[in-house]
Parts: sequence; C-alpha cells; structure tokens
Amino acid sequence: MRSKLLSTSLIALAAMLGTQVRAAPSSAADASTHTPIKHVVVIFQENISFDHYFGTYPNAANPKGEPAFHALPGTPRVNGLTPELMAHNPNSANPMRLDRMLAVTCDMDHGYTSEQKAYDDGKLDKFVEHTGAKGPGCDPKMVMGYYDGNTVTALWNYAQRFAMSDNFFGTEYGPSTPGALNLIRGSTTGVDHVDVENRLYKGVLSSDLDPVFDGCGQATAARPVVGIKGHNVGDLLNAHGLSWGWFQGGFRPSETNPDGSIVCGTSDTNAAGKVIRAYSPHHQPFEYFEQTSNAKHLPPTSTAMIGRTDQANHQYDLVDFWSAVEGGDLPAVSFLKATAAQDGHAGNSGPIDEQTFLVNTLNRLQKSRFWDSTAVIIAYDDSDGWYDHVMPPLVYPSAAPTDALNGPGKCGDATSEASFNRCGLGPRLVLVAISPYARRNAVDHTQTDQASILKFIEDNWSLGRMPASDQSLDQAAGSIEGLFDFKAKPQSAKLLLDPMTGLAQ
Amino acid sequence: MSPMSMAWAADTRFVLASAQGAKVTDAAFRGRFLLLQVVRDPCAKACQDRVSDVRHAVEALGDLAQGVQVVRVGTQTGDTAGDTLHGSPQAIDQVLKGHGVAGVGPEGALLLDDEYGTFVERLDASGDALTDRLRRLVTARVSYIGIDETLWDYAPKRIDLMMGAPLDEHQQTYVYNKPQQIGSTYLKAIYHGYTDGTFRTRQARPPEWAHLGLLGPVIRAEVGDTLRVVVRNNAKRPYSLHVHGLRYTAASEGAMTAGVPGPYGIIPPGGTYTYVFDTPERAGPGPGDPSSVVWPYHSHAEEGVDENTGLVGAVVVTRKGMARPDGSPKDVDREFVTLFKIFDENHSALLQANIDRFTEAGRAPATVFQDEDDTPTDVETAAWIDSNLKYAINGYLFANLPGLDMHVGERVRWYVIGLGSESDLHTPHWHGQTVTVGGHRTDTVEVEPATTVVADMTPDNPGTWMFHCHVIEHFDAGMTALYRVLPKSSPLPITAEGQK
Repeated sequence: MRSKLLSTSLIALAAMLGTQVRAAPSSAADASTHTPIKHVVVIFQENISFDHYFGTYPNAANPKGEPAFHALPGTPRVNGLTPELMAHNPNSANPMRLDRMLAVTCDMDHGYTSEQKAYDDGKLDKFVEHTGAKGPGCDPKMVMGYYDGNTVTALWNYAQRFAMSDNFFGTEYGPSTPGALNLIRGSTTGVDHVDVENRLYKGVLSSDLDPVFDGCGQATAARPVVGIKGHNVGDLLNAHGLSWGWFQGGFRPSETNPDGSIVCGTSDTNAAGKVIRAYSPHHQPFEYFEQTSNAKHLPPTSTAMIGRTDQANHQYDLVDFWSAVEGGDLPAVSFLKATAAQDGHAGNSGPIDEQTFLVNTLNRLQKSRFWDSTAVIIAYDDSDGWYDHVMPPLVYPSAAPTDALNGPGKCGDATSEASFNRCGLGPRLVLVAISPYARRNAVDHTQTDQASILKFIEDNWSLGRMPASDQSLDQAAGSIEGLFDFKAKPQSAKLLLDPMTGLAQ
Repeated sequence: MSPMSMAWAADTRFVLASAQGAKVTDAAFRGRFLLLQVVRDPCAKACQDRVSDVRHAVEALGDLAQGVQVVRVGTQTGDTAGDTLHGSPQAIDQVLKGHGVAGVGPEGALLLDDEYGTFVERLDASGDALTDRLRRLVTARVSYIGIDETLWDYAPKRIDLMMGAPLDEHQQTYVYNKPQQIGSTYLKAIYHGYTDGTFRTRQARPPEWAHLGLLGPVIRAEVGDTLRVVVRNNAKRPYSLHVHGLRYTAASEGAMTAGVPGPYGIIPPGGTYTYVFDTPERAGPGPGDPSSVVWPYHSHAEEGVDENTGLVGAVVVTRKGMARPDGSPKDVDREFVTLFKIFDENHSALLQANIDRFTEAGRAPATVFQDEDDTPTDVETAAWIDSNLKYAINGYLFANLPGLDMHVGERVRWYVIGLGSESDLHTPHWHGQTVTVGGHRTDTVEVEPATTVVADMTPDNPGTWMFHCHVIEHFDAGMTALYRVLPKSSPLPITAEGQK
C-alpha cells in the first residue's frame, strides 16, 4: 500500500516539476551530472559556530604535549577573531581558548529566540547573557570559548589540504531541526499542526519537536510530534531515479515492545567516559515527511537495495552506509549523522569525539573505490549558541512572536508572512569540502547557507528546484561551487589522519 | 560530611625486614590468618607479657592455631625472640595506619587479617577472652559481597504477567524506553555474592533464591554465631553495608556517627572492608517469634540515596538449636524474602548516568535546559518524575518477579520487608491462602520503611495466585507478583537464576 501511495506521489511531483520519472541509473556512477562528482556525502554535524573552531585559524597555541599545528606557507586568512575582538570584545567576556583536555563542555542556549537576543540588533554583545550555559557548574562566559588546531586538528588539516568557507551561515536562527530541514529542503514551513508556543508558529517550525513519522520519537504534554506536508530533496532524487539515503547512528532499533512499538536505545561512550544514547529523532529530517519516512526503522532488504526504494525508504543506520560503500553501491547522495556521542554537540559530545568520527569516516571513504568521484561536505546544523563575531546578513526578515533580533517580535522589516518564524540568515557555521576536486588550501568567501548544499545537489543532478509550495530558499542560496575546481587535475593523494590526534598518519 | 571523606578501606600491604635483614612483604603470610602484633621498642616487661599472652592465646585455639600466623613487627632488630620483623618508624606507622589504628598503647596493637589480607579487626582482649574472640573470628560464617554497578531490568518481560497482557498506556510509562522516559532498565549498584575473597567469581544464585531479584545475598546466622561480611566496593562512589538487628561496634556500623573516632565501614571505590557482626539472643527470635526473624541490610553512606541506587538485602537469624548447618530453620521447608519498596530513581546516585545512557541528550526534564524556549512544563516534569518511581517487589514490576514456587502442604515462611520513604506504606496481600503472623491469622500484612514481618503459610490451595500490595495506587503502578502452589508431587518449574 505504501509503495503504491509513494509512486503516486512521485508521479504527481514529477508532473509538478514538469519532468518524467526517469529510469533508475544502474549505479550512481552512471547518472548524468553537471560536475565530475557522482557521489555527494554530507556529514551533518552538530552545533559549532565558525569562530568556535576556526576563529584563530591558521594559528594554534601549540602548548607542549598537544598535537601541534603549523600552517603551510601561503595559507589564506579567514575572517576570524582579531586582536581587538580578543582583547576588547563587546561582550561581557573576551574570547577564551578551550583546551583539548576539556573534551565535553556544558551545552549553550541555541534557541531561535535566545540566539537572536545574543546578536542584539547587530551589536553581537549579549552572548554571555542569552546563549551562555545556564546549568549548575556551568559558566555562561564559556560561550566565548573557542578551540584551535591543537584540538580540532583534523578539521584544520583538512582545511590545509582541501577547501573551507568562512562565509557560510545557518539559513536561519535556532536549533537542530530547522537546520536539518533547511539542508534537505531549504524550508521549515508546512508543519501540519496548530501553533505550539515558542516552538511552532503558523506552520513554521523554529524548534526541535519530534517527527511524527518516527517510531522512536515521543510526544509529551508540551511537545507534540509533528509532520510536514511538503517535499524534500529525497522526493526530487526519487523523481529522477537517483539513489540516496540518510544514515544515522542508533537508527537500528534496540528492541521491539510487545505492542509492536520500537525502541532506539543503543548507546556509545564519549570522551568524557559517559555512555550516551545514540539516536535523536529530531536530527532525522526525512522522518517529518510521510513519503520519505521509515517509521518502524526497518532495515534495507539487501545491501544492493541501500539507496534504492524498499521498506527502509532511504532511511538507514550508519552501519548500512558502510555496507553500501564496501559491498554495494555508494548512493548518489548520502547524508551522515553521527551517534550523539560523536556528533560534536556540547553536553553529550565534543571536538575529540567528533574528530574520531570525522577521521574514521574520511579515512575509510578515501580508501573506497568511489573516492575519485566523491565530494564530502562537512557542515553543521546550528551554532549551539557559541560566539561568532560576524553579523549574519539579514536576508529573511520575520515578525513572529518568537523573534527578537531587533526588539521583541522583530527580525528586520518583515512584509510577507511567508518568512515569519524563519529569521535568517542565522549564525555563521563551519563548512569544509573534501574531495579530489576540492580546491587546495583554499578559503571560499562566497556568502552561502545550509540551503546552498541542497542547491548544489539540485544543480549537480539537474533536479530543478523545490516546488514553489514548499517556499524553499534554495534558489536564493549562494553557490558552494567556489569550494571546488572541476577544471583542474583532481588531487590523487589521500589525506589519512590519526583519529585520536588528527595528525597525518 | 561527604561520604567520600568518611570512606576508608584497609591497606594491609607492608614491606619490612627479617632479623637477618631479608626483605619480607605481607604476601609471604597470605593464605592464613595473620595476627600482627605491633610492639614498642625496646620490648619492655609489659610488652614481653603481651607477647607471651598472645602466644598462649593462639596455642589455646588447638587445631585452629595452625591457621593463624603470629608476626611481631617493631622498629628494632635483635629482640629477645629474634623473630620480629622490623622496619623504620614510618614503615611501622604505615602498618598501623593501613589498619585504621591511630597511635599504639604501651602493649602495642594486635591486628587480625584474614587469609586474603583483608583486615578483620583490632583485638584488645587478653587471655581466654582473646582465645574466644580469635576462635569466633576464625570460625565465623563468612560472606563475600561485592558492590557492583550493573544494569537492572525491572520488567524484563515487558508485559503485565498478572494480566498476561501488554501494558496499558499508564503502565508503559514505567517500562517502555523513550527519548525522555528511561523505561525499565537502569544502571544500579547491587550487592552480589562472591565465592571467595579474591572477588573474581560471582556466586551462582541457587534456584530457591531466584526470587530475590535485586536483593543482595541472604546473610544467615544461628543465634550465637559471629559473622564476617567482607565487602568489596567495585562501584564509583563510597558505599557501605549497614545491618539492622545484629550486634556491631561503630567500626561495623556502615554509617557515620558524629564524634565517634575510627573507621565506620564506609568503603571507598575499589576498597574492601570486613564487617564483624555478632548475633546474641537479642539479634534472634523473641519469645513470640517463630524460629527465625529477618532484618534488612542496606548501604548507609548516603542514606536513602544508596537504597534507591539498589543496595538492599536481608539477614535471617534462626533461634539457637533450630538451625540446619546452613543456618536455615529446621521447622520450615521453604523461605521467601520479599522487599516492598518504591525505588525512586530520581534519587538514585546513578540518575545522571541513567539520563545520559537511556534518554535523548537534552530531553530529560531532570536536566537543566539550556534553551529557554525549550524548558519543560510542570506537567512534563511530573510525568518524568513519576516514570522513575518503581513500585517494585524485589526490584520487579507487573508480576515479572520469578521463582515464587512451592508445593501444597509445605511449611512456607515469608519474610516481608519494607524500605523507602513516606510513600512506602505497603499492605502485602496473598490471594488464595492465609498466613499466621505471631499467632494471628491474616491474608494481608503491613510493612513500613525498615519494618519486617515473618508470615508462615501452609498452602492448601493449588494454583497461580496474586501476591501484591493492596494500596491501589501501588498495585496500579506494578507492585504485584504471582506465586504458584503446585500439587505435592509436581516438580518445581525450572526458574532462571535471575539477572546477570
């Protein structure tokens, strides 16, 4: 029944897009692409502002006993923390270097409203007050903290060999789910639920309510589970017969209850020695859409079917990704989400855990037979509230009760309700591209946002844009093609790093 | 005072020298009881008298004396006997400190270690009294109990076995795991029996004790016995073993009392401690009691929290002359120990570890919410707190408790224990049979925190019957069990040993 509904909706979508549902290419390598890239792998990590990881790039403190970082000659500058910002910051504390010993920090406030208050009408002087950590034993001033190349050594080394951006933003303010939805759809609209105070306004989601089409989600008295009536990049890829998947740690159920409900109870240990539950339903954006969901978290019917439409419906556990890489076909488009212990999110993970995940993933991918035509994009869902010194350009004004950037209920001068509750661009985030086709030791300054990744996928496979009804921001998003050079000879040398230190193996 | 600052465990290691100057360590003496006599040098008259008193006291043990090695330690060489180990004043102080002794009297300190090198007791008696104490300690009933952090499942079957049905929505809140609901499996600290003082091998739980659930091993005594309970703390914070009813000194209280010097039996992580308990008449059955009584034991390093963390167990003391060799009462065919306690996981020492492991990061209403606009409502918080209250019998909910099996006509003794807080007012009720308590007939008893009831039953009514708390809220939340009365000749069903 489901597959019939699915194919019906696909045809409807294809009609809307003015295209035919194409015959599926036999493998991702056979699909026609705009660039030499046949496989895009988006590693979508959690909660890092640009300055939190790259504010002092390419200069690390290099204390004794820590993995050292020395920039290559000719390393370009980034828009980072200036001596003036370091010594006389407009916030009530100056930026502070966080040591790699601080493997897991307190979590900061990264609410849609709190972040706008921190950016304070463009003055960027209220981070400590509004996004600083509030828990017992937490110091709100730590929101001004940043790591350098002695901790996020791998990311800095990837930037030396490949390409990064210092002008990439969240499409809007706020936490994980809006970021994930902007990645796969360029839109947070269409939520099929009445307003939920501070969380959902006129069908636009600015918070982390769980997806209704995920059996591991949970509705509570104050947090309904919600679904979205609309489309996402999965629909576009399906309409074009392309293989794709979202691969998330902890997706495979640990248990099925006697009433048939599933439990996602697997866990792993972070660098602080804490055992952390792996799966977060609200980090899985495709589960908000009935047509791209896998509510029961069913496994793929075979390795060969990973990326193709079956009972798993393109939603997988991370282990399935490696099954596909090593025993099947790397899909055209893959989104990877680490377990909570390794996703980089303060409170449950941190830079050391995240580095382990990134390096293990990149080492393995570079050794795979698909590497010559693969582009890995490391991006983030939100800033966690961590300090960044760049005022995001006000591209999407909003006048929802949740807005606060320019005063209560105000984010710029909003004229169209279409952009209400989507105040953006949001905080500046890290973006790194790793590929044989990535520019070498390059920093791209093109203004881009999360929807730019969507746009790159749309363009590479000539998918067209999201339907107008989705109110996607894909068309308006800047291009990330500046991270690549598709005309030069591709880099053949691999960059294999040590997952513990981030140094070259 | 924090439990950590009260915690102490013996360190019986030493490095000394023989009269010939050879290095001698404590390892040379393990395998037998070691009676360390610390002497003041030079060993003057009083000291010499004590040396000879100890020698005679040990000789008077008869055959038992072979299991006890006496070693004198002092700072000087060339003492009269020529068999004293010697070391620097610092090394001698280290020996004393390692045994929890501050300062030495004129006759020195007499310290007893067991065969594994675990300190037992400081002895002050002399003459016959010393012999008697040594005999008691060397021949004591010994239990080796480890405090282990382990996963405990309150409802491994995930269904209500009383109704034989899936759990309804309310019941599920105590059992099903969800992003902001822990469910039925928690990390807990539990007392486990071990086979010996190496604490390498867990004692297999015999089928008759399968129903103990998360209770520690039953400690048995016959009135007049002395007990040595050796406890290893394998957990990550200080814990103790505090027993009710038995006779103990402050050193074996397992709880701190202000102003009382010395160790209290609060054990640091990784430490081992010997509790010594005596069972005089007043620790056993009174005139109106049946042939045995029950006492709870629990950790008392942080009272309340430790019990919720899972550190609970029972002691059974049998009347003098009424015990089998294993301590069980001769006039009883089968015993069951049941603890009625609401385990309040909100007040477990391991709450945060359980939140990290079993709930989605940032979702549990117990954690501090970083996002102002994501703060949980009072309703959500109340639901969270309620979901962590486990209305359990021996740590089992919804009749998941296994092993309450017996035959028609057997003399069955139920030891019923209460522990907990002001909500722990329980009325355990048996369907299908009646019991006698202190000569009175009933089918329902009352327990409150740390009170006990001994109820005797001679089941005459075969079948599978409910045994539950009759407080309706507790019943609804899962404080239920099933017991089975089988025809006389039927073999007992094979019951799993319980959770690993």
